[in-house]
Amino acid sequence: MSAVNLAFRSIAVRHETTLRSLAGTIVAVALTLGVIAAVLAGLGANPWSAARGLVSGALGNRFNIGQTVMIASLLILTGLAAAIPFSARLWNIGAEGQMYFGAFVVAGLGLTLPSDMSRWLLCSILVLASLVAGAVWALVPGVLKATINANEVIVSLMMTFIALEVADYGITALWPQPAAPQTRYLPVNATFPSIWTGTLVTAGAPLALAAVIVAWVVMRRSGLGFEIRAIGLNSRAAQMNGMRVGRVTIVAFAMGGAFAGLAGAINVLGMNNALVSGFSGNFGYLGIAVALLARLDPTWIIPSAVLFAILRVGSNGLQVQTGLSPDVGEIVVATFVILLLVFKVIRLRYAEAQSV
Amino acid sequence: MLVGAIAAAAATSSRSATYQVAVLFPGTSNDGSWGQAWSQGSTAAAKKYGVKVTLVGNLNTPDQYLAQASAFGSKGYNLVIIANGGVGQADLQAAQHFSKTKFIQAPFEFATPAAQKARNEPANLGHIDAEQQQGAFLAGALAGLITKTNKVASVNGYAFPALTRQPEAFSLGARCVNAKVTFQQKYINSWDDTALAKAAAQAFISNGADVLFSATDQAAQGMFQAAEAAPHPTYVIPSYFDSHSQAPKVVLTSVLYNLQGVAEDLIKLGMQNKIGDHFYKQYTYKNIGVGKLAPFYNLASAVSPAAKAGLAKITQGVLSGKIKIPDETTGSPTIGTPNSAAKINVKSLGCTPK
Amino acid sequence: MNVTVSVFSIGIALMVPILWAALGEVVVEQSGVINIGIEGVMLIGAFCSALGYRYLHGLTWGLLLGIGGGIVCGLVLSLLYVRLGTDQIVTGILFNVLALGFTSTLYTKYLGGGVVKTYGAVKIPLLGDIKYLGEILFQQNVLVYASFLAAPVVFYLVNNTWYGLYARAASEHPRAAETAGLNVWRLRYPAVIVGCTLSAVGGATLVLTTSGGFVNGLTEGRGFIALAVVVLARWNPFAVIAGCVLFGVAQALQFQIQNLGPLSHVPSDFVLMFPYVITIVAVVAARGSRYPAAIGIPYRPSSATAA
Repeated sequence: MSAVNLAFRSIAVRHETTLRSLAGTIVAVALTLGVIAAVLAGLGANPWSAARGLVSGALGNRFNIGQTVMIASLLILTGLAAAIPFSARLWNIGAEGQMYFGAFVVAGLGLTLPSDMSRWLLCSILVLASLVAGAVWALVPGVLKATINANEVIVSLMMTFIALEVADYGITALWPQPAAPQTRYLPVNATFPSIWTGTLVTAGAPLALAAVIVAWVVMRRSGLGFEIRAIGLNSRAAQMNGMRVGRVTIVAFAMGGAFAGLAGAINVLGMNNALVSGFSGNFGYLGIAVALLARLDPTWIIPSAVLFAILRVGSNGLQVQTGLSPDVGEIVVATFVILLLVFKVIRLRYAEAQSV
Repeated sequence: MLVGAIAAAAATSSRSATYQVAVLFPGTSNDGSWGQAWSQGSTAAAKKYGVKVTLVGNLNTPDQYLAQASAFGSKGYNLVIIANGGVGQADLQAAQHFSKTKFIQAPFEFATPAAQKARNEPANLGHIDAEQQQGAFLAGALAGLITKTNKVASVNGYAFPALTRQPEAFSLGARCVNAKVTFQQKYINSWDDTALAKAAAQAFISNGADVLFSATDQAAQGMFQAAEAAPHPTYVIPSYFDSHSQAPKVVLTSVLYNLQGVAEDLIKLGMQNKIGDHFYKQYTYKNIGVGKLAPFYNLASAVSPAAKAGLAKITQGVLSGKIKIPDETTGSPTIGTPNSAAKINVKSLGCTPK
Repeated sequence: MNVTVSVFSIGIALMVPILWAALGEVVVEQSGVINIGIEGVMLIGAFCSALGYRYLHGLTWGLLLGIGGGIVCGLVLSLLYVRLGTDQIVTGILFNVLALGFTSTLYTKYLGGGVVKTYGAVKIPLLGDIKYLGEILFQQNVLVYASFLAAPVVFYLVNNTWYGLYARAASEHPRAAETAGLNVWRLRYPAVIVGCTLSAVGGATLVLTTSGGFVNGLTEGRGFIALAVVVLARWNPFAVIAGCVLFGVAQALQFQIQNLGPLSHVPSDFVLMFPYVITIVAVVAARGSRYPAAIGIPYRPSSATAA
């Protein structure tokens, strides 16, 4: 059966099961809320005040909304970094490392390039550099997977640990700052301008939205996107239909890495204005959850990322309200997505091996 | 008793002008190190001065510090102490947005008022510094005096100048009293990876070191274990908190930077409205006992009377200024980069090593 | 103690958590399930053992509670992987996030700092006195010895028992195995549960020996390294030991770098990368290792009488 046929069948099946997955979603949401309420009560916190703290912490005023927007921008990009390779059943879980490497390159360039260049030019160069850096970092698992079928889960994760050390090298040896584990601050011309007064929202946010548009065009409207999804459904059939699985693998990883690298740039240029050791609160891994919740669809990644950003930023408000550790947000996130998996709301449909 | 409690509650709630302080830090309130020191000091200040102190630990990333600082700022807190470096711009951004709250960033930043103005910092953001190298130097002197193998070593967190000055000063202190001593060090790029710290310590011990210095945080626990299992009597000197009870057989002393006192002092100053614009204060051995060594407890027998006398003499020399310890900004060379102290001739500091 | 002996001795001590996790993963994978959540299982095993040590007072309780934590993880994961048939790789990744969130939250509330008086080294008489080799192998703690003993047990289980044979058949051609009368699910449940228990012991080893205490995110990628070792060793438990030793020595080497002459000028950040680079090299070297044909694919029995 050809890959084209298979793709059409899966689309048809998806419409049939829309109602079923809606019911599943509602049950999953209800169950998650129930589990979380139980956990919170068990830890001695009032679930209602926890919820209030969460919402006001993330959305209560303009400043907080701004923080949520910036975190959502990061998660949109790491979400895309996961979603695109995942669509081809390529498990890129190294977005965290690709982001760090992008941040490393951007910080280095930002501190060494002449700072009297025009801000537009300098920032554009830095953005491009981050895309390239992230793509390069993702090429290691990508190429190894394409050529010798190396397990990309392991390789991409090891690259993350390596990237952390590379970033620390930059912080301690190359561009140190006297009093803290972070680099010197970047000159003003090498940072994104603020675009919403009264908040900390910078040009990074619209960049993330632009990335979604690019991803959507590629995945839904281009031949490459079609190939990626076809390979995800049944790579053998795709190959027999003439698709170059190896080449698409490499491109998918490169694209994912590029998005993650851009996330690194947004953090360095649009949030911290320096490369801070350990700046990421697992944004790379949360991107996986974002992508899954969005069912790997670029447009749905935006609301998914916003939801996770609300959880992340709001969990600090929750902390202030209830005294619980901010990590509670992570529990909510993971429980929610696992339940969605259980109830088949998220279903990554791949053909079973044709076993005899 | 119930009536008393209600009355007390009523009394405090009517005093809505209670001074409110938030202290944000990594680690936990009971981690036996940095976090616990800040927590203890802040809680003591709360009792002493009748202020409300809220402690938030386990904060690691800039976005968390930003969200927490702004949450407390929007709640109208009077003072927010950020006891961590590596928070990016969180301190600046929060201070800019919540001008009614005073923010102090307290990882020993060398931000004199001039430097702060150069960074365009808002007036309600302040910094402090603590002369860590003095305490580390004294610990080194102690190590140099009691070592039987003439080999000492240090396990360190991250290599940035404010941290690096500690092990570098330690090495200077050891060489100040002991002409034969050699020094090795390792940066493990972590504050709390106990396995790495333990392995590093084991390697140093197997090379013969018998006094180890820790410039990390909770990772020092790994060093305690390595020392306990060592084939020759080995001692560890950790930093920030009196860790003797964690490993009474090997923790000879701890370098106390009196973070408790710093926390108390900051809160007191805040309450008395003495935190001015572009606040900057330096805490030293002299003014608040930064760098004092903790008591030896049951290990006093490991320190011979001659060693005790030697240490006292060095301490006197440091306090009187006869012995000049460089730091990461003064001295030539400065000791802000790894292995920079090895180039310094200790005699030029005023030492007379034996 | 000379440098080489010290490196190997420390290396063995460092690699044991990974060895336990890898042995556990061998058990799991030979039944046809891939557990990416091994990192989370180790973390939970470590956390439970720290809890047991602190609140029930003692290393034994710590170990028992760690084992208990592993059993619970095994039950949850076998439910997800086998019964509910969720996508194994994705579920595993999310399980790791969940484990990290849970342990971080509970750590703040219930553990905080606190040193563990770890298992001391136990010298084996006679064997421990052998020059060089004795120091390296026979002066370690009990969990190290237990892991050496566990490897042949796992080997026997996988290769020489009926269970092992059936489970591996189910991992290659589950449909055929079912036709031959095997219940694929009933074969996979115990594999996942036992495998998770072993991996949790690896986490407990971290707390009770290597690190001597729990801190957030203690495992630092060791679970994934175990995954790599398993593939490289082609699921042979003895080769797994060799792989883990290689990794442990790579980690231990960085602390002797300053004694290795020209290498002493390498910045410490690059030295710290070394174990992870080695793992990637191992993955590349493992080319030609073939995962069982049906691994990672949830199995749906054709009849309605599945357990």
